[in-house]
Amino acid sequence: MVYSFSFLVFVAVLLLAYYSVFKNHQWIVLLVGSLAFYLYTTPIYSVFLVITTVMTFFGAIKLEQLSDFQKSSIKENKEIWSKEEKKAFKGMVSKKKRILLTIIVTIAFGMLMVFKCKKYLPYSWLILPLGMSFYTFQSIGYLIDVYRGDVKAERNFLHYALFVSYFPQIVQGPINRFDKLHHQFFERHSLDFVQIRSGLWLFLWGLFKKLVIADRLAIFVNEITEHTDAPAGSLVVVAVFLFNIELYADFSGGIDMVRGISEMFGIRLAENFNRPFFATTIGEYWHRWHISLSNWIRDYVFYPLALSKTYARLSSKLSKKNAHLGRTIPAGFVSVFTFLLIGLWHELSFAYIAYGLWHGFIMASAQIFEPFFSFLDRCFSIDRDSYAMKLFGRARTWILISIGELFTITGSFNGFQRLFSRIIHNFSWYRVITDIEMYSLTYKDFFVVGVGVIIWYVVSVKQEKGVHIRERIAAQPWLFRYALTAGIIMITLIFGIYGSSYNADDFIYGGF
Amino acid sequence: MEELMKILNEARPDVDFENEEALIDDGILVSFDIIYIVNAINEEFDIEVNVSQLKPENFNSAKAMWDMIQKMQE
Repeated sequence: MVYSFSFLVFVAVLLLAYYSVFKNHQWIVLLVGSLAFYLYTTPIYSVFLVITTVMTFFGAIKLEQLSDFQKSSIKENKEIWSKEEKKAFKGMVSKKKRILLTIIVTIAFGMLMVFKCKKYLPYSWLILPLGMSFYTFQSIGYLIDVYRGDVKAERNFLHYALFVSYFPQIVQGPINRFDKLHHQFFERHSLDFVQIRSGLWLFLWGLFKKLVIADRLAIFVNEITEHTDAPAGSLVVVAVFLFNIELYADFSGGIDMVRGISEMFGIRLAENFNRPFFATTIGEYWHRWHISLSNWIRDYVFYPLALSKTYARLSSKLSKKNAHLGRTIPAGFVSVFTFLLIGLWHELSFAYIAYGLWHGFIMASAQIFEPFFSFLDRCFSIDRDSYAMKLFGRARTWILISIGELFTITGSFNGFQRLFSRIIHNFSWYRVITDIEMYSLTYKDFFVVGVGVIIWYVVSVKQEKGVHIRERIAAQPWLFRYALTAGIIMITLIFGIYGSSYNADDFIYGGF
Repeated sequence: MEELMKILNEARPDVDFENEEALIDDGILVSFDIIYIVNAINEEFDIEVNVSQLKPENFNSAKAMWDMIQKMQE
């Protein structure tokens, strides 16, 4: 049902109800719609969504009560308690809070892990519930925010349930923050044609990227990587290169569709992409790719670890010997660990452990060896801000990312080994030309993808220069706007690749 | 302020901390730098900057960091 025709009808009906009969109870429309959507797509496994929602809802309230109790007791006994007594009391309540938080986080992530490592368990028939990785992270983020006192605990269960289950985001994120999203559900959204049109454009743009580019490339990439009929190494390299484009078109296309639908309801979701392939370093890439996940890991894992006492001790000990090492070695360790978690968030497998470690090691070594790279720059009078160096940086980032994708593209160690050995032992560069049409895509298909990617690239360059494309289109004469909208619909209808049905598995990140 | 400037210049000698006002928003300071700066600030000023305070508005300029430190020392 995800993004099928019936889904579009479902959205249209909700929009109608949202802006007419139920305009005074808009959040109820969203909640009913979200629950109906989830129960329809994930009937039995909805129980896990319910468990996570109930657990984090009551957990957050309890955590807030403990914090309030801590504050009020200290205030009441300000004159009576000695400094030590205050400290002991504070420690006792904080410990209770920590234990409660640990229990809930362990259960929530424990449930997620059962599904993530199902292939190693005797329950391999289990299916990962739709959006579990996303809603678990989103609700645990909220719980930690309450624990830290950054947001107030929500006291209305149905209000909270909408935050966790909001239907556009539940399939493949983005992972939203409570303070940015929650209040939007309860603001009055009046019917705004310009806003609905803008959301529709974003949705169509995402659909174009998904159906015309990603799904077409997927055919070729899957043929090369899944078949054991020994494709040439050069074709494997082309497939990995194209897989980068496929993955980005698939995921960012999906997110554009999600954000577009949400905008039609007047709800703005978190940004997830900022043109990642313009990044000149891996560090910058992670500021631009799957932003909502990397920010989550930074705020809830990286920073807490890096501000811990053990870290401070290690850093200060090393700093006495060498300031640079004191700054980079402990942070490097934490970095490798957090990227390992990013890998595991996708799946518990060799492929994603290798993927996470690869990114972690690059991030850590870029920082640790920075003085050496600066030395090289000085020796060869290299200006990192020059256009040529930026271009070099982008190409280098692309290659490093591609190596990471080589681990995950087949999803197994054997698959990685097979593809890697083809690249090393049987590169045969000329077979890119002679064999390329043997894998289900014709030159015509590659031409369509090429034109699609060029359009996408031009749009991205404009955006990178700060142009807001949809505002720019909105300022054009109506004839141009309609022609453009009709054009993108036609192109998607004619050149899109359609499977027999659509479901979450059709989106790569819908499977995580 | 002098002690803070010393920490900042040790962390990133290549950055003009006197004038930069979008250290985080423009991606000049990365998380490695922030961690180093926060741990050094904690040690130097005997305060405990916690995770909730690691917001762009507290780290976008040297002045913003200084304001945060002073507020915590009060």
